Amino acid sequence: MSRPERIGAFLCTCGKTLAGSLKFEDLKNRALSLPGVSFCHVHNALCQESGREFLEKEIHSSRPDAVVIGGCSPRGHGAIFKRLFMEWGLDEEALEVVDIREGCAWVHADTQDGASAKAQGLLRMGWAKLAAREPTQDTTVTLLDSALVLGGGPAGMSAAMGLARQGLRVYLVEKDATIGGRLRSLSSLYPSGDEAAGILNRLKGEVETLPLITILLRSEIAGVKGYVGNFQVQLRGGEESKIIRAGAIVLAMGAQSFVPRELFRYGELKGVMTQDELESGILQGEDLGGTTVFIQCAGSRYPGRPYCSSICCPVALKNARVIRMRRPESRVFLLHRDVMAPGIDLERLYHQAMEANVRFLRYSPELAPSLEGTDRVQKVKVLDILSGRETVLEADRVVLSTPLVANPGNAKLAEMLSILTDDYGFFSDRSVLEPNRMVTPGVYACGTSRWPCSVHEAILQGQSVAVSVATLLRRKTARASDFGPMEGVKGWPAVVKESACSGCGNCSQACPSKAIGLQLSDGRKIARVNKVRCTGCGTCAAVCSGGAIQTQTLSDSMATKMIHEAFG
Amino acid sequence: MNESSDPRVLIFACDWCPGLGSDRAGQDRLSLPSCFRLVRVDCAAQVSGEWVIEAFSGGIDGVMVMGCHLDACRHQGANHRAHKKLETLRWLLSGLGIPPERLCLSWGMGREALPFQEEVQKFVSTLKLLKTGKEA
Repeated sequence: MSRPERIGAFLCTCGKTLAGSLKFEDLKNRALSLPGVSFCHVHNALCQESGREFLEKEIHSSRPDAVVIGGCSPRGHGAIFKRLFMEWGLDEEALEVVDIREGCAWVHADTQDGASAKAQGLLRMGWAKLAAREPTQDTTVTLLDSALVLGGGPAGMSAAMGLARQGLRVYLVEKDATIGGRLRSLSSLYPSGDEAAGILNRLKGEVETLPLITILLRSEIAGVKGYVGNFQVQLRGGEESKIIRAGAIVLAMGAQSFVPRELFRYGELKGVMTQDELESGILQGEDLGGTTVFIQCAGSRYPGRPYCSSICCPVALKNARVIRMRRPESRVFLLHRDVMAPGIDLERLYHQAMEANVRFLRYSPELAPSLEGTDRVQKVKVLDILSGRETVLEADRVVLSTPLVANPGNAKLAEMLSILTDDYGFFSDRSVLEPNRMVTPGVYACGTSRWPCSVHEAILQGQSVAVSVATLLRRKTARASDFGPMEGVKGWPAVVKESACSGCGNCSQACPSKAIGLQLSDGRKIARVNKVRCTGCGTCAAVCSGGAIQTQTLSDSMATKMIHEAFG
Repeated sequence: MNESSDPRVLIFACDWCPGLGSDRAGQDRLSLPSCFRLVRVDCAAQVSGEWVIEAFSGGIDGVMVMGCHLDACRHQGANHRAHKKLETLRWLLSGLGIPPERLCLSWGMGREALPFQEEVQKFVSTLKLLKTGKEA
């Protein structure tokens, strides 16, 4: 929008709540005295149906090019007003909602004069912000109708399937020689008890037959250029290295099982195995008679790796029960710190394991179980902290429940895509409302690359990502400002005042979205902003020594004018 | 500074945490001095040092910049950079003969109603003390 010439003002008394604490007649007169303000109306409930009808009627008859609303905090109805304004053909950025309720009348209830004087100041500041507004700078982006899914495990297959079913072209990139991921080495799945092979065959069968899915095996990402709607992904390995163009990137590379070197004499004594190794044993029909001892939290929930991997208890419960069912004469002990089995299905699994005569002993990490044996494990000594008795169990095998840990490659990929990882290297999101989306627009993650989860959860997350990605890409075009720090938050691109830019590169180095580069212009270096990548955070403005780069939502001229009006 | 009346205070408040605190203070009907004006910003990183100087030269007694907790910035740590910049500015202010106490930085205190109220009241008291030399 350009500078407004006809500004409309609406004041809301919020029923009768503000009428007693603010002098509305004075406020209205003050508004009308401001340059460019062509009308001012007082209403008692702009947020109600009657108020909205009133706004619409007035806006259609008076055709203002900017509007200031004085009422409740913009957090209250600001977004609704903006949406209505767009419906009525006005620029949403030409609306300024001024908080004269929460931030004024309600906190200054003891002084009508003070509150009224402040409301006038706030209204002037809102007007000043509109009056000083420069034409907004934005750009249109074309969104490609294709997505790249990295990782062919349950999360990745599910995402790919969901995307292809919605008509999007999918490139499913898998580092191994075949898709399937962890599903290939599992025997059965908790909580349903379904055979993993059956689920794998159904997923794989559909992924391999859907014509919109291209599977690229033995391939990895080597580099990424571009931005949401138009990423160029350089692949490495496979038949040939090639560049894939995709509108969105879905990360579904899963996680790794922690290898418990030097824990519980793993690798030293025969018969000590990980949960993964037990899974293959079950899958291959190994004889699991005799006594099996499960040790939970092997390598997790200690200061170096404090998190609960969340899948190990359910997997151990499932496998303990499988052994008891297969070999009724077998004995199974489960040594735990706490059994983590929340929710309806997992609590049921816990009870089923108890009913199957799996014995539970609780140990303390300070007095961890110890293993005895010379070549093969023979005994496990454990202090059961509930009974206070030390127990020695004859053991034919010991199964260590180790946590899932993040892929070491996550860090490099996070750097490449300007996204975040948590303290343990898993991809981390920022938004409650759009938990699949990473901080860089157009980049999503699902499955255990985000956090340890079951196959069921991974499939669910894959489907959910497919919906998010399709919702975005099916729009075909978007505005650069649509991509803010999180879903539903505008990201007006930063603006460079070229005459003031020294080309020092501070902004380019500091930008968390890699949105700023230096380009030669008339023989000197100037900062250039990629409008789509920029989320409007203002980091660049904070590090610019010359004030040459600013955000659009509050430019120097707007802020200066507001400052002058605050107590004017 | 104007000797007679209440100090004039301008607050730049990040809309994520302190913006919420301001709303909550109102919803809880907490009482605050009416001498402050609040400008909502997308992030404390937006606040330019020139705005602060502009405010002081325009007769404003105190400027407060309220941001989110330093490790909980919604903009990938932009407020860390804002913190560094504005701390440097405070240091420069003393060189200009402006008491650095007139620029107050508040990180992570503004999300709830009571801390928001406390931060504003504390700053207003500091400014009153600076003006009159007496405790308010």
